[in-house]
Amino acid sequence: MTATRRNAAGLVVLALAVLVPPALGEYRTYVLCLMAIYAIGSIGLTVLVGHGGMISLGHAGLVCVGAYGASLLMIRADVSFWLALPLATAIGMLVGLALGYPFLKLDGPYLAIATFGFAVALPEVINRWSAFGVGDPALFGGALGLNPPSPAIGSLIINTSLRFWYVCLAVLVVAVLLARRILSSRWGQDLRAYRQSPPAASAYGVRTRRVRVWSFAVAGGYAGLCGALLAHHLGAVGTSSFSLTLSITFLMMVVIGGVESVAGAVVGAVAVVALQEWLTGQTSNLQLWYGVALLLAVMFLRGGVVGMVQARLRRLRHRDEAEHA
Amino acid sequence: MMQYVASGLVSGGIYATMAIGIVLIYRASGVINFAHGELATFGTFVVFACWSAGLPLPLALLIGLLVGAVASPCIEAFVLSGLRRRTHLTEVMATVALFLALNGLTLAVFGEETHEFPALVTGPPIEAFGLVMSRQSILVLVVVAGLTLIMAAMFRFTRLGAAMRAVSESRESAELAGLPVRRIVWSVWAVAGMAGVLAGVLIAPIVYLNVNMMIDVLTKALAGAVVGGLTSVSGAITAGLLLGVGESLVAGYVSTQLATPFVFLVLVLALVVRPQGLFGSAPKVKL
Amino acid sequence: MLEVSGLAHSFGGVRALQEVSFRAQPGEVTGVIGPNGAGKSTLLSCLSGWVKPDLGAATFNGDQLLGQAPTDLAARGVIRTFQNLELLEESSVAENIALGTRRTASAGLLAAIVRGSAVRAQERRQRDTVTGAAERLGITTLLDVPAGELSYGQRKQVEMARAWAAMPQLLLLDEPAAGLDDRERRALAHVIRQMADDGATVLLIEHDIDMVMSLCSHLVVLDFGSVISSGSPADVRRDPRVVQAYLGGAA
Ligand SMILES: Nc1ncnc2c1ncn2[C@@H]1O[C@H](COP(=O)(O)OP(=O)(O)OP(=O)(O)O)[C@@H](O)[C@H]1O
Ligand SMILES: [Mg+2]
Repeated sequence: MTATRRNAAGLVVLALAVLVPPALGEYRTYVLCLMAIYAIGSIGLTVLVGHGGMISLGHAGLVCVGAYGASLLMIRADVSFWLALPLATAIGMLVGLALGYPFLKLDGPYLAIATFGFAVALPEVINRWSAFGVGDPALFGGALGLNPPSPAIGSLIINTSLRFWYVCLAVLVVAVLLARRILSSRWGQDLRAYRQSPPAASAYGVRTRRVRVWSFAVAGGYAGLCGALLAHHLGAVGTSSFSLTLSITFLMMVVIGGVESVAGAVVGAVAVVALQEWLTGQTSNLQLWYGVALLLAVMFLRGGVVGMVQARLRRLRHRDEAEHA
Repeated sequence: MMQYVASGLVSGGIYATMAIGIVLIYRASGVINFAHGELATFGTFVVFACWSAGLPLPLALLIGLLVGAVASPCIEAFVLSGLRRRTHLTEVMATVALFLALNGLTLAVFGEETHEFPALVTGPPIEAFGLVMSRQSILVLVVVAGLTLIMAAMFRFTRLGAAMRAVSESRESAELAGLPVRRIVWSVWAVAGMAGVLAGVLIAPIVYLNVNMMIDVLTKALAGAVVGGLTSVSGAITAGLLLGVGESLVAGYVSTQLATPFVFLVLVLALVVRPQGLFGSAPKVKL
Repeated sequence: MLEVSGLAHSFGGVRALQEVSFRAQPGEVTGVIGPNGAGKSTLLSCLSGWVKPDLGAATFNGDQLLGQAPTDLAARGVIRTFQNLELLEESSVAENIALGTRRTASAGLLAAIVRGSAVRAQERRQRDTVTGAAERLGITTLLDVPAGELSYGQRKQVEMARAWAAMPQLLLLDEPAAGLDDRERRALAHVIRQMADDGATVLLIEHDIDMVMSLCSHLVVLDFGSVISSGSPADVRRDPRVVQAYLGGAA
């Protein structure tokens, strides 16, 4: 797809996203919000996994950090929602750095286990916070979780899904544009070089350790932002929302959409949330179908949905060119 | 104190039994099998179903082990070999997907109820050296000791063991040497699958049989395998046992709440300070 | 000028390099030849920071080369190629070549986000260098193709284009002609010649004796890790020890 055509397609989708939701009703808009929020989180994973080739089973942990961070800021420090968003992003980045740095030497399966450990450990620590005897034992709200207040613009309180949808959409648009910019930059090239050949990357001057650590920070930033939005979306923030399954769900979005493209992260989030909604009506055994869907995607969807579409378009164009010639 | 150590050795023994499977599979295929625990749960449910249907427990156990021995190599033969591009990422994703799918399958077939699981040995607890231990606990220790000996003997004295070593050192040269690499790899997965089901049957009487019973055990077994070096069976057994003891001591002297976080602390520290584990060797960088 | 003196390195019991000393001048192609396993690649790895030698010294234009990380050496213009190519298989040829421009570019995350005028200028320069390198190697039509889909000869050309884009001061080539046909070899020799003419100090490891003889003004012959002969191609060719080493290796 040429750049102009892609921009045109993007604008059409954006126009639909602005114009259609008022006609959808509360519940469907609520689901749309979730799609946008998850899309933001999975963009971060696209950077880390798709471009950096680092496996993370701990993305939900970073989202959890963002959700708790934003909620605590709003509840304890009276920070407004609008300020909490960038602050949660920053907290996510910091925690991402704090993860990326000690895990520098870990690769492949080792990194998968390390991030897996993080994803399982974080909720455990939050749940058992009082046992540590550090700080306020009720810091994380105990079993009840935290209830962040609703955001407002002046006197307009964001308390309907439709209003929140426009907030999510705006943040998503910024997130997408920013990710495209980051990935097409020299930094993004360095990251891809590191993934495909660490020796070649170092031999030509890429600071591989630095790129690696910062890709964790980027993933953490997106996860933090996602978490802050999710905190409001869920209303109550508890650890059960950030289980290992959520980490796997993020990976699933990235793989189904296409690990290497920002559009893929969005498509994947939409597809997985839609699947989730559809399955919830059919069965209580979500994990079975999740597992099967993920397995099929890994085995047969090379390049994800977006990758397949791109390949199809490329083939069509080649045929066009052949006919014109 | 000794009582804590003893009970830690029991849970550690079960982690070790699971960790053996993880290490064997990693050595054979270079894959962390995140589905290993769910496979064990499934096999344990099969044992329970057979037993509930009136079969004697040993026969039920045999059937369960057989299920483990058949199902486990299928993961390698049908799923991993079926990947178009076999990278660390796709491999991890595939076993993670299987983790979910198998968990769901067990739920679909056997339901979400928690069952009391029959102990393999029954009778009053035994007192010795000032310790009180249930017969099941002693059985766990005996099984772990037996497995350790069997593994050591297998690697050292059998042709399969030698072939396994050759394959895990270099698949290419094993192929060149004319070894039936695929069959060897499958056998390793089969042995691992059986060890997994055995671990499930051993722990089920203690924690009760439930779909999610192995998730926690797998996590700790992974920690054990990593601390032991991922490539060393004896390392995994030692680390699994130590982890169990450490966990039990923390639970006893500090707080039961902190036992699980303690395991993660050990896992992360081990990965950060010594990624090759206590007994593994550092990977060589090739140009 | 590259000066190597008394370089020695062992892998466990294998003495890969012993007492290796030689000089290489800018603007010239210095050939390093020797039978398989003579230690040629190890020499290159020592000079480019991948292997830390046990003993010896190596300086380039007076700067110490040993004990530095490959990344830092690359930033200073010491560029090596790999015997097994190390291309970015899934990236386009353009992105592969662009990796060559990395050493002269800044690549911070903040710069990527802000994308100020300096960064945009850098991106333009990078694009120009990439097209220039592709033209030089005659692979402009391949710029959008993923490197993994190319033929072996084309892949080697991409690798040379990448090295060219780096504008190296010290270029270390590990068997660049292996697996190429005659036409590709001539084109390759031409590019190497040009890079030397542009002022680079080129160290060429190569088994193709004709190519070495025609390109190099100076040869270093390694056998079992030691320099057994060095000098002009004509001298080396007549040296009985060289003949012996190659015949001995062949027998
Ligand atoms: N990383 C390593 N570990 C152990 N031994 C090594 C290593 N790298 C090289 N060697 C040994 O050092 C010696 C020199 O190897 P080197 O690769 O430098 O030879 P070469 O001259 O480049 O050979 P070729 O023409 O085959 O590329 C060989 O005996 C080789 O087996
Ligand atoms: Mg070599």
